[in-house]
Amino acid sequence: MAEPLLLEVKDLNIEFHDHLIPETVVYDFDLELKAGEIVGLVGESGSGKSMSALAIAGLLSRRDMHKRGQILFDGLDLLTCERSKLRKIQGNEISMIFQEPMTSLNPVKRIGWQIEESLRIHTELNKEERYQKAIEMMKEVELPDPERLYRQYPHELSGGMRQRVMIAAAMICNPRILIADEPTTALDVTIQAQIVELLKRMNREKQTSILFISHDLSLVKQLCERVLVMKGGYIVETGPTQEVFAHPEEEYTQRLIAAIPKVERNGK
Amino acid sequence: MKYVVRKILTMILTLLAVTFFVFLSFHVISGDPATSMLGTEATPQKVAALREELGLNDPVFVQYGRWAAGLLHGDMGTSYSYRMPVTGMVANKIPVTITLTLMAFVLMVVISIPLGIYTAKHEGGVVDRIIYIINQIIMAIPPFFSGILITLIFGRIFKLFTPGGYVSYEKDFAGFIGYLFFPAVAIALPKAAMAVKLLRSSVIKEAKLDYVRTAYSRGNRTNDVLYKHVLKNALIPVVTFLGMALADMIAGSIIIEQVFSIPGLGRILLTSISNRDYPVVMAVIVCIAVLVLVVNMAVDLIYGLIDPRITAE
Amino acid sequence: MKNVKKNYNLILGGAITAVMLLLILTGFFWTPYDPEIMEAVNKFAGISLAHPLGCDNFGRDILSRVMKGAGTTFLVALGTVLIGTVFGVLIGAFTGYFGGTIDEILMRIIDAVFAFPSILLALVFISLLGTGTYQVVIALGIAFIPSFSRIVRSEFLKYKNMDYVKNARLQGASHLRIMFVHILPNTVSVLLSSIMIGFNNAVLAEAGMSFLGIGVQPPAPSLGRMLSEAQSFLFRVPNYALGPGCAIILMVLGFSLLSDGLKKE
Repeated sequence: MAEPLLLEVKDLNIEFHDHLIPETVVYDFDLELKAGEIVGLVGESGSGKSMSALAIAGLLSRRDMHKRGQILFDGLDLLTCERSKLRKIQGNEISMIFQEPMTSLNPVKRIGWQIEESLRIHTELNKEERYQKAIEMMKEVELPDPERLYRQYPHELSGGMRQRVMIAAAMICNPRILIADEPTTALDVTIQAQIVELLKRMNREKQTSILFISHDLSLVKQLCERVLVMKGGYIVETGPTQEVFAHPEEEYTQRLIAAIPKVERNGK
Repeated sequence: MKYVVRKILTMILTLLAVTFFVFLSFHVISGDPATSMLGTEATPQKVAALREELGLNDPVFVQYGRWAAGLLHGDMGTSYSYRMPVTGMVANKIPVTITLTLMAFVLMVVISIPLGIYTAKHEGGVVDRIIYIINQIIMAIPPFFSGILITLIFGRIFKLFTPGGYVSYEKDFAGFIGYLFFPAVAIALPKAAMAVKLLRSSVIKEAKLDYVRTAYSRGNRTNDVLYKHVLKNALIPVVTFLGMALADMIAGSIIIEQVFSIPGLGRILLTSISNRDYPVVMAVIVCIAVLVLVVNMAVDLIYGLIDPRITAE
Repeated sequence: MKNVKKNYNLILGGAITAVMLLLILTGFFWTPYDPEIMEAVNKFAGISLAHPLGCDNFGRDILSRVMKGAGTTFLVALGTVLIGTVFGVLIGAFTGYFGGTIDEILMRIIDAVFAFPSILLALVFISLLGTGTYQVVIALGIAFIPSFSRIVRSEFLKYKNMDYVKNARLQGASHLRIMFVHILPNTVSVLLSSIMIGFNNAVLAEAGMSFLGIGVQPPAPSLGRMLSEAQSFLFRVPNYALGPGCAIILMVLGFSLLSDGLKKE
């Protein structure tokens, strides 16, 4: 019995329209995401992976970016639906975390306030209930001393902790999809592993689907069940992670894999 | 807390340094105060006697100390020209200047904040472009000229106020405020124009930062992002500017007082400069300096309230 | 390929500035009439072909006076900016580059001075030095030093740790050489924008001080002073104020549009 698709992206084309000549950055992008799946999106800088992710999250400006195709979530086309419907989904059903936790958090707002934000927008919970949920969420992402952290500001935390805060904020409404755009790139290697473990746990415990974007293939290998390889705006290869890594069909994929430091490649 | 204490200490130290500098400068330049005071009655004996009486033979530091101590007690010395206590001459001018400056400040804030936000939000739109042109023109008009124009247009043509008809706050407070309104506008306009420009570019810059994207990703509306996230950050450089503007406006009121015949600190400063009545000059400068320093300190404190990164040790 | 939009700021600002400069430069050598000739018969003459801006209360041609007065204002502003820039750069460069206790002390002093509106400082200096054109230049110049030195200082702080500076040190370049040959050229664009803003402020400040009567002294024409005289006759002859007022506005406007336009490039 085929599982229903949570997210179906068909023929997504993204064009930049803020220059004189339109520039296409994503061509014919297709993606299928089931509930509880972890899918990886890999490629070098400029391959179009972040753009595709931002499009799915509804974060691309409708003015400067012309998008063709469909992004179907629960039967709703996120590219053409009313803004209000899109907003109801953002932070609630589809959440996103970004690469730079320092700049992705508001420097003048307290941590607790930022973690609760999606609750404030999407639920009717009162102050006390939100507080409880936030503390609970902070414990789930393994943040130490949550009560104290709640009142602190982003600049008082380390990079790894900030990223955990981002994850807590993104997960607090229990979204069905979490889009993670290079969440570990700006972090230390040891912290990277922890964050990946955390994401794995979230997926296991809450059945959250994860779209994991990275140029770090070793991490993708650890985390993702399926992988899409992008180059120059196109998907060049796709399939279950094991297969793609073991028998890469495209030359580009082969080169990418070959570029992983030997230890990591053979270690797993 | 440490931040607050630090700022207060800085203010006090700066005040000491400034008053000393002012005192020293005038001490050096002013020649013999005794001779000035006695004027035509100056004979060597009288001068010597007066010098003794005024303690002018003591070392500079002692004289400064005496003057400064006097200031703290509200005694600003004696005017050369009028032989009266300066305090009496100056005291009733202070509320006038403060009121004028405060009104100008309030006008500036009330005009510029909404306009700055609006033009940032509708960047590139018709209103934005028009405001840009108006801003550029206003910033090029010296306040005293706009004062003159205002006098002409609103005073003479529309007859909304009587040019030169200053109303004392003791006699009629409402009339006092009413008369000060147009001068306050003249002072506020150029600063408001600058504030609009600054706030606009600050908001536009902030809106491009990463945390804004995060805010949208949580489902915020544009207005929510603007007011709950961006504004607080965008106001930070504006607060600094507003503080400087307030200090500038205190100085600007000096000129405007001339245009509208307002008996404030500015007027008395100017007359005493031309009369070489140094005790009065010093006293007024100290008054203005105190006001400026207090304003600066207030700005620093507000700054510390808004931006938590500043007070981090 | 980016859209090449017309830089209206540059065009308009350039045009206005060019016109004003032309008037000013011409005014140094020739004016339609002698600015100081008083002809009672022309008293308060209105706008006419012979006298495009009319005549003042002494029968002097306003246009000629405006041209000369604008020239004075221009020179004063220039002098002010010169003093402010030269000393500002020197102080800023040394404190930014060397740092240390001297930096701490100097910056505290500078900050204290900076806290005061330039008009106030100028007034203090004027009351010490007396009134007159040179005094105004010195007073305003000193009042402008703090803002320039701060900007230069922060630029030097930024650049002094850059690699090419360290390289130059290793190659044995003296501090002075590094400061002025290597670092300073990089700060020029930031400095230029501050200079232009400073120039405008100086124009306005000079006008203000002349207006108060403590700037340029009569009978030398000065825009501020003309406005102050115009004020007394405002209701009888409102166009008296127009000439000098517009001159100031156009000078400042032209320059600020120009600097905005240049910034976009």
